Amino acid sequence: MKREDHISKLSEIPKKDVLNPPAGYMDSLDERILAKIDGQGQSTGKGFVWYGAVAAAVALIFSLSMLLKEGEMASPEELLAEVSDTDIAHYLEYSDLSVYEIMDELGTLEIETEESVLPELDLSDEELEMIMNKYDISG
Amino acid sequence: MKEVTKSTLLDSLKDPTSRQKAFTSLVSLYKSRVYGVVRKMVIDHDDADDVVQEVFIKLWKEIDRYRGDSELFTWIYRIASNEALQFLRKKKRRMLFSGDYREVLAQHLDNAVGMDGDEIQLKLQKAILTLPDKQRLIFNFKYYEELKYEEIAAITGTSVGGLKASYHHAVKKIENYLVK
Repeated sequence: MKREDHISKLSEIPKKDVLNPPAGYMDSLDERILAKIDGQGQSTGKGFVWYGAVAAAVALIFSLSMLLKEGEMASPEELLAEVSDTDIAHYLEYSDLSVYEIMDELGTLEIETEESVLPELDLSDEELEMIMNKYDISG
Repeated sequence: MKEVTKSTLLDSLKDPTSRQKAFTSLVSLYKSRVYGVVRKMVIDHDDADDVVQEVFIKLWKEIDRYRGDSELFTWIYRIASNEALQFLRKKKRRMLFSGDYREVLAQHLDNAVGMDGDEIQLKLQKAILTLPDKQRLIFNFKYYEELKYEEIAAITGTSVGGLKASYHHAVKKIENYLVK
């Protein structure tokens, strides 16, 4: 093999997987995944999901239809602005859209997230440190 | 990739009476590969652990939506890729005002790969990290997983031509980084 400082081609580097899990990790992974799935299965009743989905959809449709009745040619942004965040959140939660699809859409928009408003808040050093520790960004 | 068990495993997954047992087999069969794909994207082991668990939970929830029109491993890799990319998007957003998330990933690399003293592997990993996330994913699938372009296309929904261009461009960028 060439000296490391002379390597310029990918093919000159031995292919090996260097990002391996700690010893024993794979042995317990199945059990942890299945326990998590069992836990989720117990906490979420199917009836609740259906009622929640129907309630969220009805609330969303009702809010939009009320606005349309007023006869104004509102833009989609104006219409959505009238729907509460909770109704939108419920609608998205129970819709067929996956989290990935929702996030993918959001990624193309200028949205105001907790993170983006953070620098405008008047936070003490202690509060800032607490937030940074919470999100593990103190490093 | 070998899909010998695909039909029987799939039949068992679709049947509510055998689903739990079949899913246990699926986890056992794919956990290492899913971990490998995810870990190469999120770099840190603890993050990879969280994402891998989310991947399998999502697979469990979406079994009924899997119609069997794509290979089982394609479906699994697609969900793993999406979850890893979503995790990175969240991380990037969280770190919008506090620094470059790639620097944090590079630090994790130092800890994971640098500890072994394998300088060239560390340099290669850092070179790969300079690629945009989606290109990095494509590179990993081709270089490490040794998937065919057609398989990567089925996973990522990108054209074969686009993938070839992306991979060759990625190799070029990596090699430029290596000579620095």
